[in-house]
Amino acid sequence: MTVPDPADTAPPAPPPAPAGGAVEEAVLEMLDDLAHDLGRHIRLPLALLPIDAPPAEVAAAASRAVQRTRTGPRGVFGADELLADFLEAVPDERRGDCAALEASVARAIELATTSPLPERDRLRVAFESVATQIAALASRWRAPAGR
Amino acid sequence: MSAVRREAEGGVHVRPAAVNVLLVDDGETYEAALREHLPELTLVGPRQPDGPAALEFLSREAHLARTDLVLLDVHFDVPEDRLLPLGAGATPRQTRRAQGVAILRELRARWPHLPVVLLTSAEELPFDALRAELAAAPLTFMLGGDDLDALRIRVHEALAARRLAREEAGVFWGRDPGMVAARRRLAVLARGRMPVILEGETGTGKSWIAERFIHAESGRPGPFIAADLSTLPPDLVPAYLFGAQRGAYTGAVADRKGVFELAGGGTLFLDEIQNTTAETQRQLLLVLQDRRVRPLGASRDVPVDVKVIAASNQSLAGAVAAGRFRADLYMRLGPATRVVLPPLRQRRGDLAELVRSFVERATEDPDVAALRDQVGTALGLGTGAPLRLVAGRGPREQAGTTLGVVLPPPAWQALQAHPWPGNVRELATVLHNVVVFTLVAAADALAAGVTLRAPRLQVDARLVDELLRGSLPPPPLASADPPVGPATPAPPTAAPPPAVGAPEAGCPPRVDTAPGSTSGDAGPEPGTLRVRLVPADTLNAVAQAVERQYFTHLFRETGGDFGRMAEVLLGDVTKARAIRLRFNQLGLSARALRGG
Repeated sequence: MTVPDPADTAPPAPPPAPAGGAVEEAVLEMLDDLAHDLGRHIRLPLALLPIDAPPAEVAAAASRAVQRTRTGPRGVFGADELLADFLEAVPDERRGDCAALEASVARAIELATTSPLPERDRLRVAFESVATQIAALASRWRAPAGR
Repeated sequence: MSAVRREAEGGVHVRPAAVNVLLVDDGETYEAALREHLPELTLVGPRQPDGPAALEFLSREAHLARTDLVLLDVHFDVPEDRLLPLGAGATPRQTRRAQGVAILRELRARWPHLPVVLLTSAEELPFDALRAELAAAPLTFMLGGDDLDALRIRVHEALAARRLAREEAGVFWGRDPGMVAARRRLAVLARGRMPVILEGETGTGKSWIAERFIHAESGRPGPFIAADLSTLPPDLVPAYLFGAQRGAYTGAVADRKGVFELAGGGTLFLDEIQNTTAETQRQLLLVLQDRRVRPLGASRDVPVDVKVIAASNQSLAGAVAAGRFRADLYMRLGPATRVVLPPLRQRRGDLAELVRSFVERATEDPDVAALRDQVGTALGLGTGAPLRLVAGRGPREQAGTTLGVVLPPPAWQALQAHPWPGNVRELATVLHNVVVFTLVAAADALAAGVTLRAPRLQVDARLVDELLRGSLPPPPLASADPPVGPATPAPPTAAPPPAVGAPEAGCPPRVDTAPGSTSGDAGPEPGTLRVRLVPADTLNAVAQAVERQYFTHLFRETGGDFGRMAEVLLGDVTKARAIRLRFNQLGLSARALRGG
């Protein structure tokens, strides 16, 4: 699968006014959870590696970042599962708003599981892009016109 | 040399000792990072996945004793029955997202000395309202980033803060940047004989720090001598400073040493130096230049080896500019050695820890301890139960062996809003009285047959308001500023120590103090007042000595009935509380007076 590389592009432009109806509070709350469970936790394994970590450790951290993104008493969830859970709750007319987020997650998973592994900094940017896209979506949906 | 001092001096690298941390986190990411990449942090036990598990773990003494600090996640995706309540109206989802804050409240209430590093940043907190609460929480830190260095830095900060929050040479430094900077400079300036200029408002703890930190850190073998030059008549200053030989002046019936000689090999604290006369300043300049003094009537100089600490409650540079202080003396003292202690109103970040410490150390006063034991015994705790400050949202159940003092939010807000013109000294006095009145109220209630369900004493917010409104000028501790922090060996109402350490110092004696004071005076005869009129004390000190004696007399006349005393003094029998307050502020002890 080939998807656009958010890391190779400029930061997302300010969100346009949404076209659909108001976003339910419950979905917004799920988005807040997603910001933590996916947006934060996909970054952590790589961020918590020493700066001079050998490639094997970088690979392991990258793999953990996308495959064991959120762990806890409720189980182990990969990045794609966390995103899928969220998308299920998004109204159909709002799914289009999530395209950039979906693309960033797909790109992060692809980079983290490809061989040979890309440079660490490229992985970092890809993971951070997921958080950026979630924040952009929250900003868009919480804008007065989006409610 | 202590580790703290090594840090202050810089340049000395020591391998940090292993730090035992408790990880409270529902996920495995940080645990993996700790195990794999941070060998200097040792997990004291298994990762605790939720609040109840963490509290149970720490409630075991052996676990608590091994725990240096807690690393605490904020967002806990755990079943609802494992969530600690966040507050009224919070949904389960909100409670999960801010569960770390709920856990933190419990940790702060039960183990206030335990540092906590929250594994989040202020920007990531789910609710803005929590930022202020966390910012005010003592010994609580938030990560500034997600990388290993951010974690290392915060762990270091948290441990350093705990070290400073605990007793360090008897001084509480706190987290305020001004105090931290002052400590860092003083750690350097303490060494050697170079003078130090210590500036700060009244009550900021200048003399306490001078003795407990500068003198202690100096390693000088001689004594610490404190001298308040502002209260001496100018014609007595030379003899006081430099000594006098027998017959040097009328009344000099024996040789006497001056404070410069008495402090030989040690430290001389010159308090209120900005109030000295031009002649005194001239003489001080000569001594500092020549390091020799000549006692009155002597024919030879005497070499002196003294480290001088010049204290002022005003800017000495400002006094120089105004022509009230000699520029050459200021330069000799060394402007580069000037350290300013910030007033309490500028270090409000330390207020919570100071309040907690003063409350919990109030029982160092034997009178308060006796009251505490009276209440503790009635509640089944027995004697010696430690006082523990409980924040308004503290746990409902107090740990079994402690007596909780509950400070409700309005009282805490009043303490925060108060300008504290008397600084830490005023805070110490107010909190001492808060504890006394709270214990008295509890003792009275228990004696009247009221049943208390838990060993928690609610502080009356109106009492705090009243104490703050009635906060009076500090008692005349002319030569001994009260502590900067809670490491106070003597309660705020203790009798003031003598101005100079040794009785034979040749220093003027002080005004008689209350019965039972260090003077050993049994008090005046009933119906009489006695004040030894010597030129060493301020008018305030004289007035308070008289006031103490009058209170003592009334106390005995009324059989210790504060209502009757209020009727006599204020014409209002209902003002007993105000009289009791003033009684305490004067350093009087009902127990001591009743005991004879």
